[in-house]
Amino acid sequence: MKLIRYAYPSSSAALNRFFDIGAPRIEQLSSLFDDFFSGDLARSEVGVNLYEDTHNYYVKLELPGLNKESIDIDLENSVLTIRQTVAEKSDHSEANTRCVRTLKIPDGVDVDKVGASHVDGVLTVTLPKEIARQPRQIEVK
Amino acid sequence: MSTHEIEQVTNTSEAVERRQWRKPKHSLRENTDDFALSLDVPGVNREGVNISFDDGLLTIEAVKMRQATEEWTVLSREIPEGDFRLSVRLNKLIDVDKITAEVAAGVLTLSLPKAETAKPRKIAVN
Repeated sequence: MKLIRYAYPSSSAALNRFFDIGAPRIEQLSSLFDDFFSGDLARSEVGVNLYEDTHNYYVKLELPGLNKESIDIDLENSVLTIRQTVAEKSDHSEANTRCVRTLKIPDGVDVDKVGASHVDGVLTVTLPKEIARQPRQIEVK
Repeated sequence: MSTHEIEQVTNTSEAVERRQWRKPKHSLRENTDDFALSLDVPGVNREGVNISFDDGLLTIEAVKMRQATEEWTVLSREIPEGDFRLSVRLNKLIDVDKITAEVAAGVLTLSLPKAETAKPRKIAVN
């Protein structure tokens, strides 16, 4: 599996040499350490937000810089899996996929009508609720 | 400072809205002619970007577009709240007037051209 290189600063020394970040605050220090120790191997998991309204559930992820074509979304047995594909630019057309995030979605989703959009680097998956699940008013006769 | 003055200061600061800022993931690369600074700002398009330079300090603020999510009921939240803000102190090697920036797919890329005096140059031997 090919690692994807992200150009995050690999050492604090390089960053300080060109730009003075100023007096490091606690959070700056910790983010510098994260980059130094974790590097490319330990990518932190992408966080998701889960929302609902009357008609749908929504899953929101931040995937900046990825284009639509490289995102794969699978839904199977109430588990939503989001993968990123990196196409090999060589003679063999094998595409590598990297799993970005999985999560369990609530029951009562109309699986055929699930849709997704990717705007400004934010991926939003819309999961319509089955009709039976939508709240309804019950009249008293 | 009398106790009355202290109360006044506290009340004013409570009235001021506290803005939550996130520090965006960013990377810095040096090229021959410029530095490329790229920031991950998902949810931001060009209208939300505000770049300013004051006394050697480059400040980038990136405000997210108002999204439909604000009307939805939150079931679970892992993504931190807030708009993006990054401050970088530039030394004199940058030609500030020629800084350019563009936003695409939630990534803001700035080109910070090196000042002419800082570019590498060949010195001919007579």
